[in-house]
This record gives sequence, structure tokens and C-alpha cells, in this order.
Amino acid sequence: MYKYIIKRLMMLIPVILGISFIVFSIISLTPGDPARIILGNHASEEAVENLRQELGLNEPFIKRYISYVGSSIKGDFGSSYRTGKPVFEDIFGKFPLTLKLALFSMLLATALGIPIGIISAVKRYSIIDGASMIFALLMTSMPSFWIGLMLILIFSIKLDIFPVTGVENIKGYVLPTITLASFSMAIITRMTRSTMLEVIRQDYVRTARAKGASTKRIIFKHCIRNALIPVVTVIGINFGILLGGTVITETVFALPGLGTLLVSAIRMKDMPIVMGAVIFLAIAFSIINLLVDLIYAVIDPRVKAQYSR
Amino acid sequence: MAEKTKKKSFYIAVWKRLKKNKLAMIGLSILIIMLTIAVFADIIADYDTLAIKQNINIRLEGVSKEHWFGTDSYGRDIFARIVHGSRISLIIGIFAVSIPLVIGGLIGAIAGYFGGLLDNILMRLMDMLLAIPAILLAIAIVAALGPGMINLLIALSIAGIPGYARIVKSSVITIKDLEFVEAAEAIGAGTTRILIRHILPNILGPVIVQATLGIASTIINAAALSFIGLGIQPPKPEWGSMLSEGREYIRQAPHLITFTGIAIVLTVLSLNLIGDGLRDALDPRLKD
Repeated sequence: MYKYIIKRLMMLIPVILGISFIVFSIISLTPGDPARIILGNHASEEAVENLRQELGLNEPFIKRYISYVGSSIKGDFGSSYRTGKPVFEDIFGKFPLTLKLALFSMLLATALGIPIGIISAVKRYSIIDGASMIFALLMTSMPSFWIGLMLILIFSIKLDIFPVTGVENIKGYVLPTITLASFSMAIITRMTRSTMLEVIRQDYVRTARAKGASTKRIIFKHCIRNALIPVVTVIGINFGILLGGTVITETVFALPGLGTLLVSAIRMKDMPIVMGAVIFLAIAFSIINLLVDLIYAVIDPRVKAQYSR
Repeated sequence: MAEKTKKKSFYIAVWKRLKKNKLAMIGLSILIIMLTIAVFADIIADYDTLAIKQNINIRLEGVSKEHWFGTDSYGRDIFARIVHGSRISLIIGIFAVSIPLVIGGLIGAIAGYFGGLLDNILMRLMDMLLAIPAILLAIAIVAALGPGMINLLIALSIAGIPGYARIVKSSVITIKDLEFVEAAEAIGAGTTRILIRHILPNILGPVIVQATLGIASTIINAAALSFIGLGIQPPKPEWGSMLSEGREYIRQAPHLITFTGIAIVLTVLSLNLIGDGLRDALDPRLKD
């Protein structure tokens, strides 16, 4: 098992290097001179050239990338073009809100999606099944930001139950969490239902039934654990959708997280922040995926067996 | 000749199964209506006078006989803007799926068919792209290139490539060692011919399903990017940016967001219904 964990941890290094390389290359495509952006249009040509030297902008691409990676390892992601503050500070200050929002949403999506999926599969073709499948279909067809706007309209403006914006207390998280969770919840519900249906058809379930086990026992003892293995993978993938989705959800509710930081940095062409925020979110996604894979290894005896020898 | 009739009968069988699926047929009807609206947008509502021209005297008006869905903060007819917005969304949906489908499909086909080192290099590159959530990757690209329709298309296309490469690769692997491919190789067919004539038709099913569902999610992502101000810019009647404008007036004029949102939901829903229906119709296990 330790071997597996160490192997997976080592694999994280090339992934992170790959992410940073891709994002660094994309951001390097930005037209315009960063030195000019920092100093503004009135600065002299000489001052701009000096700053270019200082920032190392005249160096070749690969050299700039290597020095970026070198300093990021030490926690230095450069400084904001606009405020001059270190990027890392900005990102680290905003990340807790974004992570909280993503975690709450994942919890909500799994806590509702898995049971609904199981019930739908067990009571296949019932009213509950039909209703939840239509609900899931609608959830995957609605843009999350529209769901957010409609929730604001109904629960904040018409009913005045939840705030339009702000997360001073837990109440402020309710609508953003539902907004962000909606899509993943639908995917998890559908996935759970279809894997459950697959498992119910298996021979060992028929055997369990034949030896007289109760339906309850069959569902809980024999089906759920096996059905949930592929669902765990889907949950991992959905975390990426959630972390990307926070950018949109935070904009809808005007929440001061990493997403709104990213959007405003893009508007102001503050590229060090853009680069830092995207890399940060992508690395967070990789780490969460690693954790999911480890959970997978714990619950799936096949993976465990492979590495216990 | 015999092969041709067989191929035809396969698609006829799929269509027959699809036709029995009521939800898929509802989806298909909605999509046909949406496509018709997009094609005849100029006839339904004039672009310049209704969708673009501002008229402050009639701003934020509710639903009426003249303005079916009301007017927005600049006095523009929302119905006309939604009609013209359907064009933008469908064009983006179709192009931002077909471009990555062709590029990703080629990458996946080459990786799957040849295997070895080439496969390793190509797929590791795809894994690197997949490590960044698609919407974030698109945001990063738009951040670098700037907003606008073409840049949005480029961003969504690049973000879509790795997904299609993976699907095509895994489908190619499952059939490249089958006997009919071996037979084609044995009689000396070239690689291109084998890939196009023998492998492509056999992997089309899952690819079409994925592409249909892909158009649906791409329309949502494009609207989302425009909503946060990184996609198509006002005054163009794009659904996402219309919702972003509507957000400002959510208290006074909620009709700004309701109708536009329903337009997106209907379009995306129709594609999801068709995609799901196709998946079932193509699933050999569900054959009757």
C-alpha cells in the first residue's frame, strides 16, 4: 500500500510541471509588453527597457520558464503588475473561500446524489425514479450561473431568506453551494443509478437472493459497495468541474474568492495573478484527484491486492 | 454492395430504435425548431432595429404585445436578441465541437493505431491538458488572447481536444486487432485507408454520442465565459452576456434573466435528450 502511495505521489511531480508549462506557455502568448502594462503609457522607452531587463523579459522563453518554476518552488509566484504585492499572498488569502465552497458543494452533491441514485435504481421505473431522472436531466441542462440567478430571484429577492451576496455567516454559503453543486449532483445521481443497475444484474446478487438474503441486506451488503467504486472516480473528476465552476459561481454571488480574483486580474491584464491562480487551482485539482485515487485503492480490493504482494 | 446494404440497415435500425424513444424525439423537435429560428433569425426579427438599436424611452418594459419577452435596459427587444443569440450559441456549439473532434480524433486515432512511443508522447500531452479543468484552461486561453468570438472558439476548441483524443483512442484500441482490420492489412491496404474506411465507421457511434453531448456542454461553457465578461462582448446578443446584463436589474426586471435562461436550457436540454437517446439506440446490449 505504501508503495502505491509513494508511486502516486511521485507521479504528481510531472503533472504539476506539465500544468505549469502549459499555463506559462499560454500566458506568454498574451500580446502586449508586461513592462509597458506595469509602467503605463506615459513611461519613457528607457524606463520600460530597464524594467524589461529587471524582470528578465528579454530572456528566451525556456529560460524564463525555468526561472519561474525555480522561484515558485520557493513560494514566489512573482508580484502583481498592479499592486506590486506578492501573488502568493493574494492567492492564499482568497483560496479558503473557494475551497470551502467547492468542498460544501461536493458534500451536498454526494450526500444527495448517491442516495437518490440508489433509490432510483432499486425502484426502477417507479415515480421516484422517473422524477429524479427528469430532475437530473434538467440540472445538467441548466447553466449553473442561471440557476444561481434564479435562486437569488426566488430566495433572496422574493422570499428574503438568504442574502444576495456575502459569506459573513453560514447562510451566505447556502445559495452558492446549491448553485455550484447542481451539475455534479445530477452527474453523480445518474452514475450511481446506472452502476447500481449493473450490479443488481450480477450473478452474485442472484446467488445472494437465492440463498434467501433479504432485499435490504442484498442492497446494503452486496450492491452498494461495488456500485460505488466507479462513482468515486466520477466524484474525483467532478472536483475539477467544481473548482473551475467556482469562478462562475463566485461571479454570480460576487464572493471574494480565487475565482473573482482571477476574473478581475484578467480584466486588468495582471498576468502574474492570472497565471498563479490558474496553476494553483489546477494543482489543487491534481491533489484532490490523488486523494480520490488513494480512497479508490482502499475501497477496491483489486488495487490493494496488486500492491500488497 | 452487400456491405453497403448492411451498413445502411445498421443506421436504419439505430434510427428505428431512436424513433421509439419519446424523449429523444422531443429533443429532436426542439432542436429543429431552434435551428430553424437560428437560420431564419433575420426574417423573424430585424437585427439592427430590434436587437441592436437602443431606445431609452422603452427600457425595462415588461411582456407586451409589441415586445413578447419585454425590453432590456437599453430598450432593445429581448425576443429579438434571444432569436439572434441562438445563432451565436449554435455556431459556437457546432464549431467548438467539430474542430477539437477532428484534431483530437486524429491524435487519438494515431496514438491508438500505432501505439508505442508516439502513443506515449501524444497521450501524456493530452493528460497534461486534462489535468487542468476544461473551463479553467479555456479561461486561461481567453485571458491571454483577449475576448471575442474567434478567441472564444479557439479557447473552447483547445480545451476540448484531449477529451475527444481519449475517446477515439480507446475505441480504436478495441477494434484495431479485430480480424477485419487484420484482413485489410493483409491485402495491403494503406494506413490512411484502413483508418478511414475500416476503423472510422466502427467507432462513429460513441463519437457521435459524445459530440452531441459535447455541443450541449460547450454552449453552456461559452455562455458562462461570456457571462463573466471573457467571451462575446456586448452589444452582441449573446445569451451569457445578456444574462450578465440582466443580473444588474434582477430586482426591477426579472424578465431579463428568465426568458434568456429558458432559451439556453431548451437548447441544451434538446441536445442532451438526443445524445442520451443515441447512446441507448447504439448500445448493442439494449438491442431488441
